[in-house]
Amino acid sequence: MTIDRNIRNRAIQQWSVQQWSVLLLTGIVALVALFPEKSEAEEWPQFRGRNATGVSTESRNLPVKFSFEQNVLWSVELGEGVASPIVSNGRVVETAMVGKEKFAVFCFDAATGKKIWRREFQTGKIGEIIPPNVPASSTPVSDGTRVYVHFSTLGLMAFDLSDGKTVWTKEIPEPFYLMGWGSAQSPIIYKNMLIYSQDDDLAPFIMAVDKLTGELLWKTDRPDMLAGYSTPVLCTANGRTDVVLAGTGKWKGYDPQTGKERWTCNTLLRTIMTTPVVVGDKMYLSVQSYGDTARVLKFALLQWKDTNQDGKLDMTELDPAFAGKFKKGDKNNDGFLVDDEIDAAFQSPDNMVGGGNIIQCIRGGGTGDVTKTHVIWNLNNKAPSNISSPVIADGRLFLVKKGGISASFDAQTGETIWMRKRIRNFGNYYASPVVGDGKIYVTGENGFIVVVKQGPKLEVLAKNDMRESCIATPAIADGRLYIRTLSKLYCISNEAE
Amino acid sequence: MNCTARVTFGVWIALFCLFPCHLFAAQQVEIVIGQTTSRIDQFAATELKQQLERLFEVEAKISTMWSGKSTHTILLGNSPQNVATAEKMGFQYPKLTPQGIALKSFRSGNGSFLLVGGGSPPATLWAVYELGNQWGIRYLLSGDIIPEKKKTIDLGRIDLIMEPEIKVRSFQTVDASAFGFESWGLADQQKLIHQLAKLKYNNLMIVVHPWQPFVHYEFGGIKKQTGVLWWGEKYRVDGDTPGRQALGGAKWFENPDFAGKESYEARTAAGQKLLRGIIETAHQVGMTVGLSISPLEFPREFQSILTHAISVNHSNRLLIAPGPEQRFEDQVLINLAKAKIHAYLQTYPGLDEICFRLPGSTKWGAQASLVWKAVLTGNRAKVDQSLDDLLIHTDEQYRQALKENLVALAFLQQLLKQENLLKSPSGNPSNSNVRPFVTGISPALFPVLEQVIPAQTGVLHYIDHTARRVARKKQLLEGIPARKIPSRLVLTLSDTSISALSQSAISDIESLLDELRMLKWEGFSAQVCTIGDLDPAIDYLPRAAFDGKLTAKKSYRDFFLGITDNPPATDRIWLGYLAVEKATQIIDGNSSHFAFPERGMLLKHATPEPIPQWWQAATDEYSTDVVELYRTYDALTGRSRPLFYYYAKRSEFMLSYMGAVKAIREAALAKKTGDIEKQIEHLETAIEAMYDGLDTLGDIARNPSDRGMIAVLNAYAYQPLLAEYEKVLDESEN
Repeated sequence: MTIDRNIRNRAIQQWSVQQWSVLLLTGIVALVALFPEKSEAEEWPQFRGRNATGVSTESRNLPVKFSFEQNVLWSVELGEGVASPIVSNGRVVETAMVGKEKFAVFCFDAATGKKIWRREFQTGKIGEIIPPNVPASSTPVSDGTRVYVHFSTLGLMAFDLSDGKTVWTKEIPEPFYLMGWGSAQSPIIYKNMLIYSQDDDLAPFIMAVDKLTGELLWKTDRPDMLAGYSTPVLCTANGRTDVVLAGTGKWKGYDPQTGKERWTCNTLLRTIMTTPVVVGDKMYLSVQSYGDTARVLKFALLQWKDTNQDGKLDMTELDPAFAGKFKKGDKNNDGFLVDDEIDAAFQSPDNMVGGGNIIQCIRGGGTGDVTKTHVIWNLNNKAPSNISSPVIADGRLFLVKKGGISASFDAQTGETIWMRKRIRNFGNYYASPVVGDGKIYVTGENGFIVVVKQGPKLEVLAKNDMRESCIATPAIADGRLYIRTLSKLYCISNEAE
Repeated sequence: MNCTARVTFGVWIALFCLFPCHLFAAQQVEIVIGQTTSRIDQFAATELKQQLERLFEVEAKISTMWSGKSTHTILLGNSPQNVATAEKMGFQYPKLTPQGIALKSFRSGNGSFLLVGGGSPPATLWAVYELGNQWGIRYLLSGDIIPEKKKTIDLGRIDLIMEPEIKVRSFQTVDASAFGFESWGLADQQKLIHQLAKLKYNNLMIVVHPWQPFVHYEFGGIKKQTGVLWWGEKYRVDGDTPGRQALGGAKWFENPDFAGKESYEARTAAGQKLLRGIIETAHQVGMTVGLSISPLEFPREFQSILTHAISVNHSNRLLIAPGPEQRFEDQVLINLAKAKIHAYLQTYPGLDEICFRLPGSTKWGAQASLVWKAVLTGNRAKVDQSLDDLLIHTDEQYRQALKENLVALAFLQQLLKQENLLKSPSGNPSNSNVRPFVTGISPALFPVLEQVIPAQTGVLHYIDHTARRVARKKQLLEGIPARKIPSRLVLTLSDTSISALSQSAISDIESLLDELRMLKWEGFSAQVCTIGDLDPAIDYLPRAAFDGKLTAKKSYRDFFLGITDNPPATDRIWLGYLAVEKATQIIDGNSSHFAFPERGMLLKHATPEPIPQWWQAATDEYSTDVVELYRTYDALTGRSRPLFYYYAKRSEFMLSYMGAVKAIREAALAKKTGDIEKQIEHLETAIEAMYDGLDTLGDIARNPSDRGMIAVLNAYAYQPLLAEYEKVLDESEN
């Protein structure tokens, strides 16, 4: 061993400058090959792009007319999934179920669709999920070097973006949902941290791990939350950055370094599935939560989970995972949860919010309870969708909901620009609209993507048929649209013409 | 090593070798079928083997003679070898009728035995499926639901003898609708037939129409040239078809066996292949097969031969039938009908039965008094009643139908007198002649049925559109001499007049089955348009035929408890069905054809009249069903869950449809008041509701009828609604 090392040292010493130059050049070429055009490629590194805004600021010449067979630069068959594609460092990452209990992560060249790597994992038994959610639902996030993926039964996983090798894995408690909705929350990256929130009905929390090692940096429980799917966003205000997470009844701002709660704004509704949009130091959110303000969780549970309709819940009517919470709520230990006992078991007494429809704008940078100080405007308005988040472009919010009904509001004032205008595509909307090159791309569950002109009046430019159900929010990067239908991934671009 | 040590070591080695085998090896089950067995018995053995291996951790082996070694032995069928084997062990085979089933456990020595037998090979096959049912399998028309966990096999404590009180348990297929079995290709039909056999149906009635591509004949130099499906309708699937996810990107909705078959010849060849395949499959599982045809209706190309023929109403101008001037004994007419019947029998030599449908729309009434005596004399019956007497006792609304019926029967008598008319050309081995039936007899003729029905002919009674209506007229059944004339009753589980919506009439069907048993009817013929959520009803009919004490409620409970293994959830399902039954009663009682899939089916509700209260009442019942089904779905895990998702989603469609109808009426009311904004808003609500409903159906479509329903509703409901909306929008902009 020693001899070998000596020989190598000698050989290194004997290398000429020329040889060193060749080696250096080769290294550069290799790096360029591994990370093509890093400095030039547009990033769409997480759910809804940078900070979940859904806006591409760099893309130009985005296609207006396209379909499953028109303007397709490339497409690949993946398997069932509803996670959004991400684009980072010239690569597209997407996930899919490739077997009943087999989960896969794919990495493709963003320009050509050439497969760079694929990893597969046995998931074990996956709990029941209500369609249209499917197990492969969490959108990955990438920092350009690594890609991070969450799966309900596997936890968090970090892969080398260049070759797909596992960097680290971290077990995360499996989420449980009283109504069986299934997991669908997506991680984000902030500096050296991977931040992941999991608002389930069992033990909701937000946490940060070291993105290089997976080591836990902090974890903050969110015991007053019910199931929700909002992705954390970052808001910088007053020279300070907060991790902001919308959940049951409350916006909350956390110190990204410690996970300590900095502020709360108690203006939200029961079930939050949409993600806020941050513009400057303001945050916007639209929410539709089923029922009126009095409809707290117990009513839903008694309607759907009380199978024998005796007006009380017993443990056989719930997932066994909730046994602990059940016991906590069953104050008289009679084996049933009745009325207030249901609240005590599942919904925090300090956060008994119900349903409704709201659109809000709040200012960041607060401390403590900012409910009365930081709300800029709040609309009780029927425009919001329960799942599709708003998008903001040119100072206007654009919303779409079931039936293809759109609305637009002035971001500064909350004034209505238009209400209840149809984009001529019916059905459900689960994906959130995205914006690029002066166009708003509105993805319908029925597989039609409607292109709307960005502007003060609703103008539909095209209705494009992807032929298959689309739940995932598309990605935009480098003048290309990445569209994930239920089984395929398409790269749509005018380059295909 | 001393001797003791060597012995001990040897014992340990032996135990080491043996122990894992006993612990981990699957148990062996021997299925003994004997040496002389039919093809159906052999099929029953393979089915039993498969069931055993799906249910238990066992390896099943089929043998012709008991090995004498196995600890678990199933004697399948009643071959002489099996009878002898059983007798050797002191077990007496039970005596069974040809349709009887026996499942009997017995022990001998260390062996555990189970007799799985039937009074005939088909009954043995039913015995296998009954055993599967006892062990927890539930047979749906879409496939089997097997218990999630494999158990340890136990052949003991099974003691069951079943004999049917209702001998003919028929199921109708093909017929005429895109949302029915006419859309099913052979692969789907074969699967359907196998499932029907598992449920102990023993007769398949293939209903065909003169315009369909299932037969070719020529007469008087004219060749049949009409051969289309769905009354010649075509259902386009464009990019914007809601529910298209179920249609796989096709541009047209098609029966897969007819896809791309453009010419008459190609379609006819495809049609014949389909029907032959259906007949062959049904025979393989021991079912008899009948063909229901209309002897008095012909494709329009035969107009030049039947000079007095008239166009048949509601046939898309595809058909002609005898007009008022056409004499019932016209030899040309008889010969044309004869040519057609021969063509069917030549094309399908395996048929066991042929059923003649009397048309309800001939204009032959004027000849009734002429034929009265001829009909009665033709049947060598005593004339003890005049036609006038009969007419006096008939409701006025039925008199014309009675007269037309009489003339059609006179024609049928003439036809059946034709030599060798029903001689099966190549011959079904068990029948030298095909057994004739007639259907479409007016209830007004029931008092004289014995006198007017051709000799040796059975009757398939179709009394009214829905089981509810038939149950309200069940006193009519008492007047039918079922002990003298083989009689079957059409039991409609889903009727086309309300078939776009879920329907249930199980309480009425239960009472009708009681009536059939009491009056000793030969059987029933289940008419199902769209299967939808009718699995438990389809399961119930034959079970009730074997067990007169079985109530629908208990049958449904057994059926769903086997699927869900969750008693509270099972109770909710029954409540859901009760709600659907109430909705069916409300709709059927208020407006027949409320949701009949036809052109303008939605827009016909665009009248500025007040919204009837019963619409809301029916909607409320469907809401209850949706809630109960989702509640059930929520309570379940595993294999049964997708079934309830399917049921719940289908039920959701009902709400969407009712919502669309209501919005259309509201739009019409807004139009009347000149409020065009409101009109547009309501039309948008209607479109959205219809879109959502079809999209929902598209998410869960599981068979060609479901897909056909999407295609038909797009063509007849959604697209016209969209066109109306665009028209109103244009008007408002101008």
